[in-house]
Amino acid sequence: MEAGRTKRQPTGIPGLDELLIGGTVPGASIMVEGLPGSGKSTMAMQIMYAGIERGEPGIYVTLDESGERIYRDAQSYGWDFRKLENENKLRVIPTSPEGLVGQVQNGGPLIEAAREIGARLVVVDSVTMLETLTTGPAEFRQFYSGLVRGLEAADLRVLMVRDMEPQTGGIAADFWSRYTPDVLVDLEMETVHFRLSRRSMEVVKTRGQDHIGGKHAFRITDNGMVVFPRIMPPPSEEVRYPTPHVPSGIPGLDEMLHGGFILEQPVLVSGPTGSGKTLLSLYFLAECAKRGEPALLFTTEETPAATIAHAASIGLDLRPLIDEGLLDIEYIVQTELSIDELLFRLRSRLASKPYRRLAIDSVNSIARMSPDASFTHDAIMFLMGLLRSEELTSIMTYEMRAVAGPFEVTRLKLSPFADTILVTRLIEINGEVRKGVTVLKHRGGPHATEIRELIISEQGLRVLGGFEGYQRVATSFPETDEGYQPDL
Amino acid sequence: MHDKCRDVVEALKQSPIKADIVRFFKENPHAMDVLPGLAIWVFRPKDVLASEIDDLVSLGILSRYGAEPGAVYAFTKDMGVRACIDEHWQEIRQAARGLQSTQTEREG
Repeated sequence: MEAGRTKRQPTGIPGLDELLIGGTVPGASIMVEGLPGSGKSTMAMQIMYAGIERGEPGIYVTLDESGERIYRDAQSYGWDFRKLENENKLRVIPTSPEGLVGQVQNGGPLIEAAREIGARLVVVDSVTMLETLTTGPAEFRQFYSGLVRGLEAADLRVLMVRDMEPQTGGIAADFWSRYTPDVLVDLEMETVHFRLSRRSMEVVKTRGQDHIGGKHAFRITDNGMVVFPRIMPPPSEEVRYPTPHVPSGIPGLDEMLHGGFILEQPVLVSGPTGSGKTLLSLYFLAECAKRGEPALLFTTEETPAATIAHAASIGLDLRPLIDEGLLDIEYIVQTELSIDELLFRLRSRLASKPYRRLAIDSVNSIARMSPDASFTHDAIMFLMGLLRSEELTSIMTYEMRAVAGPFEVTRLKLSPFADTILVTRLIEINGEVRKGVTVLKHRGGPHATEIRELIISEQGLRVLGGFEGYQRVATSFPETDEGYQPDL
Repeated sequence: MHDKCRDVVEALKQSPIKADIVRFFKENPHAMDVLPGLAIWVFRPKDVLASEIDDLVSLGILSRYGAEPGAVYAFTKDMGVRACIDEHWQEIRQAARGLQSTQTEREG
């Protein structure tokens, strides 16, 4: 924070303070609104609890739920509200709309209770109940403002919870909520693929400060709410020249690359199912781990056990590397996550250990989690920026739709971001499906241009020579050169 | 049992409505509300509640802030009264329930 700028007040909710660039301006009134079940009360209780932990007692006013239910709900996240009351750090106060308004206007035991414990924050859950005291939105806006001023006059910072109703189009009659609080947060819950719920939060407005806009995924865990802000790509750094190379770990491939992959630059391996992409990335990680440098497989495709078995089938024993902590496998069940959360988990994992290599298997999962193509593209851009900033050499796999024949490297427009692109192919020769690999791009350095055969066997993975005697190998259905007699 | 405590216990044992109001405040010790609000919390008619609440104030079980209309009621801060209620709560509840059942049978 620059000198002279007001120090921000954190909410205590992981990720939300990032959206608020450190927190709220001291004394800012906050409103959190959303449909029933969207997490509003959880958010309010969590902010209350975090404030108390920082030494700021509070008052939780509940206008429609009993205190018993508030205690129970808070306890489910490990927040012992009864204990905090016994310690005079909190008061849970059930009251009615008339009871609240009367006490704010005329003074009364609520303001007394706040002073008794030195309360700094008051939560009102929910202000929707106060609408019963007014005749329409305009009157309620004045009413609400008066209530906030009254509470602020008692030296209380205000957090209001508001129930929204489903919109049926047009500007909502309750648009007043956009004007009144200093900070407005909207919570949403949507159904994805007819069965999964995804939660998102948007800081709609702040007054006197900046914030990160747009929707960001969040989750309600056993310990409360966690927000996953969209990862912002850090400034890109210049690539050093000459660019050092790192070995791929696959015999024959480094020769195609004239030394190996480019240090700390992303590699894309694109190919159809069964063409060797995952095994190629495992060799790449094992090469690093065997030299004592930690490597991470971030996968949405196979469980750790399946990955270990898959590698073992070709003689690659990952178990000792895992046991020594040199190779970690993070398996993500993709149907449960949003892109924001996926990228957040990746970033957190990368921060936990000084990994030198990373494999992401596969980036197709990012597209599957994304609501639309532009969102996917932005997520990929953020991912690339993250990978470059982490100073590790990374490999991403992409599964092509086309098993054979004409192909598109990716449908995600990833190609510009990868410094090296390998394409794996399935090639039919005399009724046998063989595998090939080619270097389509290798920025900053020469590379082989032909398709070479990729052998996957119990003896491991290796790259041999080209498909001598054949033309049009890239089509997956090559033809023999004239006069060529294939060795059957 | 002290005289004051005896009066409190007897009054509660003889009135299911008073017992209900006190139960609400035992479960929500920091609740504070106006008469119409309390009527919703304990799910009793406002006019029936009014006299019962007056009695509870007289007995020192509830505190009244301000005057009607608009007075706010809260649980007493007298820990002696609260302790008395806690100590005899089982017998108060049983007596009040019994009385409630009898009244319900009569009305049925």
